[in-house]
Amino acid sequence: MLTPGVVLVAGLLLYPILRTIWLSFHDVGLAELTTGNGPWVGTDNYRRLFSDGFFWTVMRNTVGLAAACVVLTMALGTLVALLLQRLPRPVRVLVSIVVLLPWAMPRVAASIVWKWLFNDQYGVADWLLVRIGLDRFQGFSWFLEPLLAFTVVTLMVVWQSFPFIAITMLAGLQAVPTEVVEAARVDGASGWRIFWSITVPMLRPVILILVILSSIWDFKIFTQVYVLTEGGPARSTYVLGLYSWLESFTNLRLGYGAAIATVMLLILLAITTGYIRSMRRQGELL
Amino acid sequence: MRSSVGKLVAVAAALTLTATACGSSGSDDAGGDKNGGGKLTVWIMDGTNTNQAEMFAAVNKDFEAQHKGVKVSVQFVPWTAAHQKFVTSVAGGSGPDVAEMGSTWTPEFAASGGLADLSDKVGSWDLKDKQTPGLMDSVTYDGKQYGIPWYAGVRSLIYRSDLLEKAGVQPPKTWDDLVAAATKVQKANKGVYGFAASGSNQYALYPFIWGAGGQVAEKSGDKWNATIDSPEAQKGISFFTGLMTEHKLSPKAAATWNAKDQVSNFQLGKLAMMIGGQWEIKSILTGAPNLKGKIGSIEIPVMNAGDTSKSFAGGSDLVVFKNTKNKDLAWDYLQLMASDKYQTMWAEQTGFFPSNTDLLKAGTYQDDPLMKAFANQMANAVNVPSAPKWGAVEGASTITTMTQSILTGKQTVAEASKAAAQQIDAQLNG
Repeated sequence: MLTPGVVLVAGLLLYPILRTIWLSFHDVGLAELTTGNGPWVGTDNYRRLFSDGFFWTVMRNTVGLAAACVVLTMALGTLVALLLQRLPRPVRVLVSIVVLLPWAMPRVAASIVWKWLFNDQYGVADWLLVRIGLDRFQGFSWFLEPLLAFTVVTLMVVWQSFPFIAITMLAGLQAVPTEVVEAARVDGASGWRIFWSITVPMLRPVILILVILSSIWDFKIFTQVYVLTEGGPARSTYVLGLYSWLESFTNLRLGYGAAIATVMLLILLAITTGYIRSMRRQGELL
Repeated sequence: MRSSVGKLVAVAAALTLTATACGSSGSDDAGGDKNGGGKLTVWIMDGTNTNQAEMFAAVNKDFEAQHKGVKVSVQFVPWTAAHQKFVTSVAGGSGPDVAEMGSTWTPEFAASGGLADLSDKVGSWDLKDKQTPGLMDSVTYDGKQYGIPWYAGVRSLIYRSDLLEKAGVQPPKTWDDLVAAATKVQKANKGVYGFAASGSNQYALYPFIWGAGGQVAEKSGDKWNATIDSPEAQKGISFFTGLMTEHKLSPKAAATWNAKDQVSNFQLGKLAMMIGGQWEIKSILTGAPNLKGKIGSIEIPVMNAGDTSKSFAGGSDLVVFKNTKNKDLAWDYLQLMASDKYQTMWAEQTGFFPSNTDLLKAGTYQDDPLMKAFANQMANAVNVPSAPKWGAVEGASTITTMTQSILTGKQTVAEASKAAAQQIDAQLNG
């Protein structure tokens, strides 16, 4: 009974991962790909990676971007969920559909639209800012400074990922027994107090799962950065996903690219394991 | 509550695995079907020709009439995905029979052993000596031919004749002219920039490096030496970037502009001059028909009057993949594509130049005032270093990183060009 599933998982997940790890210990270029073999180089790729200052810049970019995106997505998603919960049912359905739209939009298409919104010559963002009296935004480019460019990327990622958080949180909120909340209210607890002392503890498992998923998604951001900045100016907005892809498929240093991918995999595994452990512990307390 | 949490955890774990694996699974559609018998698969870059479907329907009809029982299937591949598709198809041994390949990529794929050696066929090809020499170079690796040239484009200076006239200046012929003209145009036309010093468009920079007598890299013996930090090359880089940083003749935002950004700003009437390809005239006019009759072109300004104006000619080759089972059939297809009929049809529909010099010298180009400058520029076209590893320099954005660092004030010309030279040395010889 289990065999087809196991074969599928092994073929689609295990093999690519093992192959990537294999590649990361070999020197593989285009010519080696044709033959399917490359010389074993031990941990050379990793040593070169870790001693390269640029790798650490990219790592800092990636971690910073992911952290900002996760925190902001969770905050916005929760706020929207609380709002939705308060709405009467027909309105809630309507608003939920609207909220889901950015999530349903293909990422490449959405990224191109955002690139236009923030265009320096004809973008809506600059136009609006000039309209409200901020003249310095005339012809202002958002993509010349890494911090500003990452701000636009963050805004876009949050805009596109909060719907999933909001809808999942809403499902969680609806599972919180109303009697508990009402009891607290009778006891004179404020809305703020009820949220932190009742809602959050009861939703903890849901929140943890959402944080794990968001961390993974935001850590391997590729499309938005690729379309909005292409890693520029002067490679200042590289993130690990983009770096690995460029090294592998444009630079044709497939071993080096695979080493970056493997490092990403290990970091994500560490994060996931950490979260799941802490969740298990809580599961025993519940 | 507890069991629903359990389910969520299971779903989350599954999603986590999928999510982590996505990064390494790569592309799924690298060809797949093995071509047997009378079937020919052809990959063509998407969007170069807006009439591509009709054009290839005609080509294939002709071909299938000549070869009974053969079925040709053409797939259009977007440029942005093409390099990766070629790499994965070489790895998987699954690629097409015939493919269009960017001329700077051909040496790289030839060196890797992914392409079929066509030397014997090209050797006895009647149109061999009629091809543009620079393009013939691009299909030649280690003295062997791995394809045939197809079409090419070259960049010159495109300008708004109405704006220059209003400012009372002539189209610039030298560097000094360019600065003077751009300054006056900017003064006479509010909201218009004189020139685009675009940081992500390396082909706008090269003419100035070559114009000052510099090179990006030169071959000595078996080794490539980066010379982009030579005094001559630095002079060219300083002039180009100085148009923004010193003379303020380019918008600051241009530090991240690529060729497409230049075109859209030109269409919006925000630019008076830019380094652009002859095919871009067509797209400028399609997007902004109001500019009809207000555009001119001239060879790229030179450092000193009398110098030869040099520009990059890039284009596409047609290659045959090594794994093809129909090498003879594939070669016949290449010949059909290189015939006058289809060279002319393609050139007319795309605005690119045919690789056949007989067609290039024809009246169509010399009598067209907009095309004449480009056709003359083509005669002195220069190629980027024809090193098989040149792709690595482009892949790591080494040149654009250098330009952007200077344009955004992060590094001086000397610092940035020295850093670029070190990288290029490693990339070309690595």
